[in-house]
Amino acid sequence: MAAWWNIYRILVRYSIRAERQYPWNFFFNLLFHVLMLTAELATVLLILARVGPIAGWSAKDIIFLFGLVTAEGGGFRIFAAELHDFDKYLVHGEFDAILIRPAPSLLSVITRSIDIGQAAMILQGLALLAWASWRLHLMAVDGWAVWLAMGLALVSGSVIWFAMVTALAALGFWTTRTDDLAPVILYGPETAAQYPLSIYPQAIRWLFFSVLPIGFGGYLPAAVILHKMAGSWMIVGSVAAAAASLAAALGLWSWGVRRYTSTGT
Amino acid sequence: MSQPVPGIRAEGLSKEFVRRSRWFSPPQRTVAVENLSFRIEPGEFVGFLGPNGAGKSTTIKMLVGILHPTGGRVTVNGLSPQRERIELVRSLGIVFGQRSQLWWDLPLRESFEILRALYRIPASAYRVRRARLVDLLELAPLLDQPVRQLSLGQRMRGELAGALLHSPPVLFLDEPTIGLDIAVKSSLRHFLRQINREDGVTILLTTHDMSDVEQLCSRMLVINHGRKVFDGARAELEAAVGVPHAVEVSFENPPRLEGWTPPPTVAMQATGTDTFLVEFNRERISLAQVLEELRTLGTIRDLALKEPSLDRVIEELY
Repeated sequence: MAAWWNIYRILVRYSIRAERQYPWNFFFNLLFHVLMLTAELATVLLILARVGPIAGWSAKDIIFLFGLVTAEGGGFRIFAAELHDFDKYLVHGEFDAILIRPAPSLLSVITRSIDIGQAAMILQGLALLAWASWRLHLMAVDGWAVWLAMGLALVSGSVIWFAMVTALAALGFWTTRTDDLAPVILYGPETAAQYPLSIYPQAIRWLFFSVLPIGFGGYLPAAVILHKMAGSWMIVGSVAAAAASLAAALGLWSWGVRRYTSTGT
Repeated sequence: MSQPVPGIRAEGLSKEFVRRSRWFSPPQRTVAVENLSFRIEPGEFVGFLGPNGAGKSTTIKMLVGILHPTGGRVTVNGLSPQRERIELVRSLGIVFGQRSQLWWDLPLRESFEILRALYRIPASAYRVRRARLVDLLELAPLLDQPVRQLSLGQRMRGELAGALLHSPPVLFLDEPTIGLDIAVKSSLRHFLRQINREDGVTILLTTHDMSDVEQLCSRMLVINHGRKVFDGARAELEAAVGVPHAVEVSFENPPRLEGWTPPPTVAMQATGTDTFLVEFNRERISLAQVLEELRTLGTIRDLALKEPSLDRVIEELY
């Protein structure tokens, strides 16, 4: 395990070095993320201004949730840049080059490049989270436990998103192309997660707490921390869901790798 | 299992691809490799031949753990490429001619550093090995260039060095000389011969270039339609196929051919006014007998013995 971590670090260091050959690429990426986030937040706030609190969630509550989901999004995207367009490995048979390396195939894939620009998303998400926590006087009620809960939520949420993008990439071993599935499995749920899940119909809520377990990453911990749900122990649900979804995604991945068919030369 | 079995063992290896054009359409099955068995001992240099689509790449991909066979058993150095992939590839060198395994945006030097970490090569062994490969492949002036700026020949030298840094006992080469000019080809061949003889590296070489095989391989494994059609030394291949030997004969004067019938298995065809290509089967008639026969046609001015080209031999086999 320690040895893999060491290899991970070295590969990441070199992929950052490779990335540095294209400094403008990095800069435009950053700019793009900042603009995207601002636009998304503006949309949420505009809706709130029109309709008032949604399902008992005030504007500040929703900014808290939004910050949490944004930071988690940045958190998994830093590591999952290659999984996002994993299709290319399958369509062009580049996955061959991954499998001939003495390392777990998923590790080899995710270290191919690191999306450092996503650090900006994490920072923006954390800033929103901190601002909302301050205005909601969270510390005054629960003290430092709030930060512990937020930390657990952020890590669990990032892991859940990472598991989902891994599962999506793994589906490519069956379908070859996954770009049609991405909006259903990833982008849609990501937008959905920015709002309290209680506004959605029962069936969709059930979906977000099972097959696409994003509810455990954003809504559940936010509801617990904001006292919209009884029982602070519920935060453990997020950690358990993160562990379970990661295990499921890794299982699906290695099942898929066995089906890999490569391409002719 | 007692001792690990060195070398490569394939028993009844099969690979069937199942494709569906649409989700619910009936599956289309194509058999890429069928019941293929062979053994390659440590230190051998084997040419792996066959026409396009014969199943060569599919076989190699099963040997290195990229593909999972649908039938049969395979071990390389006593390990299963599928179940023990990570452990196995640590002891394999792999070069696919049409695909780079180096880090495109990094200088060769840094690609080597990454490989050192990945294969956990001890520092002292790494220094010695790297120096030897840089020397043999003349890489010193290229070390600081990003891989994407290297020419095809330069890159292939880099790929070979990268594949051999961790001193693997087994090397798989899939069309390593494709697209290279004669000079680069010949220096690569020289290098391959060296590491095979001096370091005892077992090499399995796939190529369409018969001169690669002719100059390098002690043994040939030929497959077609996923099945083995020949396995053995080159001389045995010629005997098995029965490709005729040939001699080119020039006569002083146009020979008197009227009323002359060539002996069985001898064929004669004009290549000039008084030169002829005479093909014969050495198993049935000796060169001396052929010449004796030809002398009855006129005085022979000159003759040249033609070796059957490997291309021709292989063609006969398909």
